[in-house]
This record gives sequence, C-alpha cells and structure tokens, in this order.
Amino acid sequence: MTESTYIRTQGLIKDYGKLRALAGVELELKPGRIVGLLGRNGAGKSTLLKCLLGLLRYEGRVEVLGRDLRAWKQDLYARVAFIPDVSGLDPRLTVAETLAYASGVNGNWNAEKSRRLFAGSGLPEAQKVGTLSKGMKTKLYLLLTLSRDADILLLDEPTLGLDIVFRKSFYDMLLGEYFDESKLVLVSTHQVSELENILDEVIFIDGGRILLHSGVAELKERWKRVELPASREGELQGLKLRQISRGLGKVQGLTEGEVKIRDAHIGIPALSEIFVAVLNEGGQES
Amino acid sequence: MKQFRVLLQTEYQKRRSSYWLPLWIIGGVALLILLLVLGALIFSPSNLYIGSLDGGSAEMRIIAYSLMFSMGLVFFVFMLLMAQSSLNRERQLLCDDFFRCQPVSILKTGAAKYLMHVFGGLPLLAACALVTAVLLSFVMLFSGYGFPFGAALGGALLGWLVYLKVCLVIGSLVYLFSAIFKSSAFIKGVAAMGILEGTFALIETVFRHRITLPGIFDTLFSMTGVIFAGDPDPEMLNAAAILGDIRILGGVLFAAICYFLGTYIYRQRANGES
Repeated sequence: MTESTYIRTQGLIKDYGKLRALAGVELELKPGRIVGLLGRNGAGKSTLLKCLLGLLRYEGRVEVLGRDLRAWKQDLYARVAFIPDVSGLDPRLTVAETLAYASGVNGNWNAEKSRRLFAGSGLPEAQKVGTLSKGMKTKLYLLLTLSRDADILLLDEPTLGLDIVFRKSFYDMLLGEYFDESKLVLVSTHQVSELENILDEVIFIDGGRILLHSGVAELKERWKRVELPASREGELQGLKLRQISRGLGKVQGLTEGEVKIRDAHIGIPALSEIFVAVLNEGGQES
Repeated sequence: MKQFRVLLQTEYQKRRSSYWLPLWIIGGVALLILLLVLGALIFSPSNLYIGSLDGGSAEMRIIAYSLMFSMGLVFFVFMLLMAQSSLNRERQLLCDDFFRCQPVSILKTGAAKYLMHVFGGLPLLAACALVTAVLLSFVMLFSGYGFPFGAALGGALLGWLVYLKVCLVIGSLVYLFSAIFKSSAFIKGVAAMGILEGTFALIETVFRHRITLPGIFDTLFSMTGVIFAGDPDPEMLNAAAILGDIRILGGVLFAAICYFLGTYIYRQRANGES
C-alpha cells in the first residue's frame, strides 16, 4: 500500500449466518477524493462501511491509514468519522450536552470552528435531541463531525428522507467546511443525481461484490448514450447496447467505447443510467 | 482525566431523572406521613401513639438505620433499573454507533457507566442520611430527649454503608448481566441464576446429598451482609461489624470480577459485533 492510500481492503468477506453480505471486496481509496458508494438496498453498502470502521467482524484484510484495522484501538476514531443512515444520536441528551460530550472526548476538537458552525446553525441548545426533527438531528451530527479534524469521513445515506434544500445545504457544507486534498470522503447514497457533480470516483456494489470502481470523469468518457430514429434500429446491432428504450419514434441505449454511426445523436449518460446498465449487466465490469 | 470527567457527566445527564426520582418519592412519602401526623395531632391527639422511647444511643441508631434502610430500598430499585441497562441502553436507542465511533477507550467508558449506574445514588443517599439525622434529632429534642445527633447520624450512616455493600455485590452483578443480555437484563440474569440453583439442587438430589453445592442466592445475600431493618441486633449495628466483616472482601472481589468481565464482554462486542 502506498503512503497516500487511506483505505485498502483485500478479500474482505462478511457473512451474516448463511448470507454472504460481502464477497471478497478489493478496494483502494486515496485522499483528496469524494467517492460515491452506489448499490441497491441490501447490496452491502452499510456492511462495507461498518467493516471499514471496525464495527463488524470480518474475514480478509482491511488497512486504514496504513495500519491493519485490527491493530487500531479506539484512537482510530480520532482520524475516522462516521455519519450513519439513521439519526443515531442519543435522544436523552440535549443539543448542548451532546456538543459538550463530543468536544470533551475528542482531542482533535476544533473549538473555534465548532463555535462558528453552531452559532449560525439555528439548533436549539436546550432542546433534547429526541425532540428534534430528522433534519435537525442530521445537521447536529454533521456539525459535530465537521468540528473534528478527521482524515476520513464515512457517510451512510446521511440525507435519506430529507428535503432537497436540506440535502443541497448538507453537501455544500461538507465541501466548504470539511473537504480538501488531505481528506477522503466515502458516501453511500441512493440519490446519485445530486452527488454526480461532486463525486470524483464511484463504486458500484451489488450482492456484496464490487461491480465497478472508477473515476467519474473516466466513466463518462467511456460510456455513451446513442439515439437513433426507430427506423434505423438495425444500425445499432453492431454495438453492445444496454438499457435500450424505445419511444416517440426513437430508440436509444447505452454503450461503451467508440460509436461510429452516421448522424446518431450521442450524449453523455447520467451516472444513474450507467449504474443501472452496469447492474443489469450482472457484474461483467471490473 | 478531563475525558473521564466528561464521561461521568454525560452518564449523569443521560439518566438524570433516575437519580432524582428516589428523592422525590421519599420526599413525597415523608410529606404524606407528616401531614397524617399533623392531622392526628389536630383532630385526635389522644389517639396518637408513637411508642415508648428511652432516648438512648442504641435506640437512636436503630431508628435511623431503619429509616435509611427504607430509603435505601427506593434507591436500590432505581440502581437496578440503571445497572440492568448500563451496557445495552444505547444499543436499544440506536445510538450505539455514535458512542462507539469516539476516541474513548472502552475501559474508560465502562468504568464511567459502572461508577455512575451502580454507585451514582450514594451521594444523594448520604444527603438523605444527614437530613434524617437532623430531623430525627429535632423530633427527639421536641419530645424532651435532648439532641442525639451523633447517634442518629451514626445509625443513618450505617444504613448508608449497608446500601454501599449491596450496590457493590448486586449492582456489579447486574452490570455484568447488562453486558450479557440485550434487554431486561435483571430478570433474565435472575432467571439464569434460578436455573443454575435448580440444577445444583438436582445434582445434590441425584447424589443423595453426599455432595453439597453452594446456594447461589444465599452466597450473594451473605456477601451483601444486609441487616434487616425489622429487628436489628444493636450489637451488629456498628461500622466495625459492617465493614470488618470478612465477607466484604469476598464482595469486593466479586464486584471486581463482575466489572472486569462485564467490561470485557462489552469491549468484545464493540470491537466487532458479529
């Protein structure tokens, strides 16, 4: 593993009884990247994140910041932060008590940044976390995380069930207040379209296997959306076309590589389209 | 040290009501008794019989101890409620990952939980002992027996000491249960001990009582060294008898085993739950 690799997994396997949730995952993630982890429900996204955090037992090898994960103790969490898919803060504590706890136990707490973030947050300090809205809880979790200088941030569907305005401000804050060339963000999400413009890399996961791990720019360069009048559908036969759809006198589909068809309308597909195409392909990508 | 102080403070904040509720209950009962006594004094003073007192130190100690015993019972119930969910409550509230993903050693977290949930009621019960001694002394003063504050405080503090021993043994055991069982740890733990005790009895019967196995509940109870409030032996009601009892060493050892074993199980769980 090179020094600049923050996370590396080799043959990572996780079984829940007879169910294999992760089937030999191989990954290498470097700093300065925002990586999207995309997959269907039950694909293994949350399990992968929890294995990377050492919250689940696993087979294989996981290295975080150059050290075998099993060799890390609790000090790992001074360098790696996590925001889960449910608002997992203690409902019995108030906002102020939660903040006091987080700042008191984290040696790398940035008090000045924390004061600035919380001052304009609108979070009611005296209110119990259990009585906050889901958006407020997520915001609190985010601000607590941003107030620490962690090297790696793992996010598991952090904005699930929140409105679009909140989701946008969440990712804006993440980019503005946290991300730089020394940080790695790995975010698991269903809302691919909203993250499309901020992701550097994507990982497609299904059935516990990595179907694809690639740079977003590279992926968009490789994949094309081809559109032709329905009367010329025969000309598409030479292409390995996926996600074929027909309508309004046109036929279109996704393909990889060069497309040399006269007068064909060629566009760049959205990440979500590529995701579905790769998923339907059943993992022939690598 | 700062980190540990924050952990203790947070454990208190999480269960603030469990610390103060016993005090409210005791205060409520005391107020009710006071109102009844006042009512009796006003409406039917001739029927008010409060027993014959000699005002001696031994008697004061017994009265104060008995009062503290009753108050300790209330605190004991809340201690059980806290200890039985010491290591599994965050999991039930789905906030376990938040606490697990903090740079705090599990040993520290476990120690903070153990101290606050098992022994957290002691300062308030000590305050109760002081208030009891003062009130009792004034009652005696108004009844013409002088102001036996020393004897009353001594008796009350003995009650506090017995509560401390009960926490040490029973509280530590329930803390261990909270590491083993994910919910209703006290009931499940007692049921498991009951099954074990029954198995021991069965083994003894099979061997026609040629072997004697230890009674689990008897051993536990013996380690607590509880002196019941109903009719305590005045000779036993002194600090030397309560603290000098050799069984307290067994209690301390037992508590240490429960704490380390419970925290070990909790750490194993936190370091990679399957």
